[in-house]
Amino acid sequence: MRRIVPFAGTALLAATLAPGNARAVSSPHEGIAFAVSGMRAALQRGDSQKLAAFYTDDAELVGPVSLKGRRAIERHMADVIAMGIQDVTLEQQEVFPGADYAAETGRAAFLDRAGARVTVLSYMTLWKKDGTAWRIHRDVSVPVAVDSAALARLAAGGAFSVRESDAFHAVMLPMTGSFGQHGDAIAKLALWLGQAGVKPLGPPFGRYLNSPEQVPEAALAWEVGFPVPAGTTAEAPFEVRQIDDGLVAYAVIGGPRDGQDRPWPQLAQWAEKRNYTLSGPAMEIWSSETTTEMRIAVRR
Amino acid sequence: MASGSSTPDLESARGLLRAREREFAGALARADVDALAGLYTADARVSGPVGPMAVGRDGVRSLLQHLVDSGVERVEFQEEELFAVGELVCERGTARLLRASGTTVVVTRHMTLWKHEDGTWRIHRDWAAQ
Repeated sequence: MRRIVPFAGTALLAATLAPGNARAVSSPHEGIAFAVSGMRAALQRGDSQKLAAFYTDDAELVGPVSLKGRRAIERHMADVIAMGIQDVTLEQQEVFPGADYAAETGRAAFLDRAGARVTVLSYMTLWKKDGTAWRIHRDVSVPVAVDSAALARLAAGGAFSVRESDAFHAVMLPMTGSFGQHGDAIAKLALWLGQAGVKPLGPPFGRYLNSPEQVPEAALAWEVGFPVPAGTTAEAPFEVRQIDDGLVAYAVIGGPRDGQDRPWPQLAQWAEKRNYTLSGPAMEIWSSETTTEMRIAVRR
Repeated sequence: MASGSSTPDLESARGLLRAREREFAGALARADVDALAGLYTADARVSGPVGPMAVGRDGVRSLLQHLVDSGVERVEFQEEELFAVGELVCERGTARLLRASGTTVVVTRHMTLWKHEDGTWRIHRDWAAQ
């Protein structure tokens, strides 16, 4: 299992005076240092609104969690703080200055309330001179190694979030019985896609209609699928269906497709504690050979 | 642009960057790792979704060799936006890596700093998230 990273941007958690408390625009180096110290102080105070103020209105963060816009960032900050993240240590590597934009690279280690490292991200941030302050405009973060103790904490609920998911069409293969059939089921689907000349629009995924805790293995009901263009048709045993949009609780984790150590109970408990009701089957999206997104529909 | 110390003109840089990406795609199709590595600056740094950061052209060459060895033969770039950062160009976009069969191996979103060096634009810093 690789990593679950609850942060959407790195510079995310770094600085103190809110940009709102403007001071004269300084050089990029000074402006970034000023913002970073302000973000760190805001994180230590648990002030998600102040943290979000260090981003441009239309900031975009790309990484284990991707966000667009200051409001989305503020909501995510509140979740991160609620998870127990309270501090960050930064290792700034480089600053490339410019008149209106500056780029920064570095590493950020995020710490819980006990001061223990939860995860480390390598980041490149594009800062924008915005009025009287330098604010984060774009950020790409790449997770780096997380130790096993941190992974255990993450699996206990530190990596979960809620977002809107888009509707999509998918070709599905309904299955019953052992989960050990995953490889064969996906291979059948892939073969069908190739024979039908249908280009999948995304990675394969699985949906789980019950669980080993509820029924004997022989009665397990699940299905695998690939996103496909609307209008695709298929014959039994394959089915083309629309997967509806809506709120989902989710986590991105590492590990193989057939991993058995998914923190589904923790994800469900995390959502219920936040007054969400589970409203759909569990779903795993196998983004790559080493990364899985866990997703479950919720409502309030 | 424009080498030198002036701020790059993004419109003219855009066409040159696309040409460099076409060179990248061609070299990848040929599995020509030296040509791929030549698209980077001598002190480039690349941080991707897998493995440690690649530092310097030799480090980048090793990363690209791994990419080629894993069966990736095609890439489709999609630019989303360009920014001028001093003498550099910052590009945000996506890259879809594919096998020869057309199977997508991975899609990344990246932020790349392009630097004009030795008479052409080269990748100087590249961070890519899955």
